[in-house]
Amino acid sequence: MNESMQVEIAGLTLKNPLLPASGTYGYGREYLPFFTPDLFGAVVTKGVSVTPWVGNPPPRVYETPSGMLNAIGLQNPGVERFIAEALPFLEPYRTPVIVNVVGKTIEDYVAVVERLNDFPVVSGYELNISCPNVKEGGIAFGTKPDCAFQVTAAVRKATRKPLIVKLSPNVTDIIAIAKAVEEGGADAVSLINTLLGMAIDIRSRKPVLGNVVGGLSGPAVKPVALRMVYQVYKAISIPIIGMGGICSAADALEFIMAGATAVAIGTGMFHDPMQPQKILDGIREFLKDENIGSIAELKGIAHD
Amino acid sequence: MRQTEALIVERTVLGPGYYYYRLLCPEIAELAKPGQFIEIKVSSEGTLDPLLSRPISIYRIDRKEGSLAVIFKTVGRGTRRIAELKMGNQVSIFGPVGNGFTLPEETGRIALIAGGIGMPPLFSLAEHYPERDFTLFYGGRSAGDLLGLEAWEKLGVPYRLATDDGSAGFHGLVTALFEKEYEARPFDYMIACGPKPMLRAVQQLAAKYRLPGALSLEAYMACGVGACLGCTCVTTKGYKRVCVDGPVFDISEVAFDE
Repeated sequence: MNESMQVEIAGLTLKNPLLPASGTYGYGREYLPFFTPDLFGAVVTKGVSVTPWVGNPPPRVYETPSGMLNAIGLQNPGVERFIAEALPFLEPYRTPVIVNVVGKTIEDYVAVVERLNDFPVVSGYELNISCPNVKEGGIAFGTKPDCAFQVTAAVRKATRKPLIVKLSPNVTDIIAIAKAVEEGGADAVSLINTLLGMAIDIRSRKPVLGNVVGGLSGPAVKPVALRMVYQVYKAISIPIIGMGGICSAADALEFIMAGATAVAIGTGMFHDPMQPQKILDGIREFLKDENIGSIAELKGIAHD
Repeated sequence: MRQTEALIVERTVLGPGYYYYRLLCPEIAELAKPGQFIEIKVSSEGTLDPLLSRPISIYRIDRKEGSLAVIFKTVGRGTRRIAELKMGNQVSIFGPVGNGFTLPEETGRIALIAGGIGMPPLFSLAEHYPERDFTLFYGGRSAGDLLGLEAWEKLGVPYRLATDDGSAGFHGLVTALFEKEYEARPFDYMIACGPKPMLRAVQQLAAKYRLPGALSLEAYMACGVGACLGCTCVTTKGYKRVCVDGPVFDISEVAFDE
């Protein structure tokens, strides 16, 4: 293990600071032709709900300048099939597994977490309270500080495992939400989820996406995400997992310098499935070139 | 599935907006089956826009040379960027992706129904099964949209053409042409690739004549590996991923919206 890349987040020791963004990596199996889950400091799974969710009608994705819109709608097979199929696949790998949890009610979130608590392969949870593509629940929890607090506190009571809460950028004041989930007992926050957007097909005169609106991701959102990480870093004392358009080692380093302890790649992996490896190589090279002993030394350095 | 830098060994402009490329990529050619596709990276080195790779159907597989050929039409920013690549350039690709065609042992007389740029995967299929009894029904807007007819001739597969403007073959829909021929001499199996309205009509014909068969779909895709669930289509068994559960589906399985 290369110790210069090691970071601590929410009580977990990660061998490197790079994670896959939830929803872009499935449960890990599909990327095996390119790399194994052990490439990442931790795996973050696609969202898991109590019962299966079918997701939104197609079309679900559409490319936009330097980015893409998606409205998948958190399609997932539910926690029981996740236990039967995804956990046995992930179990042999050594990298920690963070399960992204989605729900329509507070009870839904709690039920998923309680069902997964006894599985040692589950290292922690990331609560998705910020998906813009699911009408009830999801985003509703992420846009009001008191709701964000309540869901975080309820899940906190249900588990002693590391608890990360993923925040929405589609709010007036992301700092208020970040403070609320910190107060609710979160060990870390992930930011940002996608920015709400849309596209119209001028030939059919109709919205392109089956869901009408969708989440914008990719390089187009990076400056917004970076600004939010920078602002939130100053306001809270728990660690941040930074994400939003990260496609290169330089992007990842910017987020770390803005205050992120770890970073996630999502849409960047769609640009090139070998991008995660390239980012890790690039960060190592930067540390060597700049004679920096540990990536942790760079955290929040842009604030000094 | 492999990722590689493929060398472009041939580039031909087949007509306005239509391109033929032959790519040297032995690792991928070795694995490729008819009906599969490759993902071609469209941004130039060091740039991120256009962001996503483009899924392009395989037209010919040459294991001996270690090459794959593709034919595509320029429809947007991504395909226009691919069309700018010259012979001798390298391009980053990964694949083969998708299930491809699997023919049952006995297929009898097979109708291949191609609409416009849906032709290439059907050619890879016909070339892979030289002993089967194929007939191609090939429809397009106009004569200039019907590509590679000499190759079909060389393969010994008879073809019937249909155009919207009557500039080549039958004046009308390719599905109407198929129906005429079917009434004279029936088929036992149907395989189609083309625009959605044509696929829907093919599905209705298959139901009418009780024919088994397959449809090859296309969709906007993001990851191209089955992870993002972005390219799903509606089937009788729920949402399925076009990229890895397809692009080839049973002819009765796809649910078209009205």
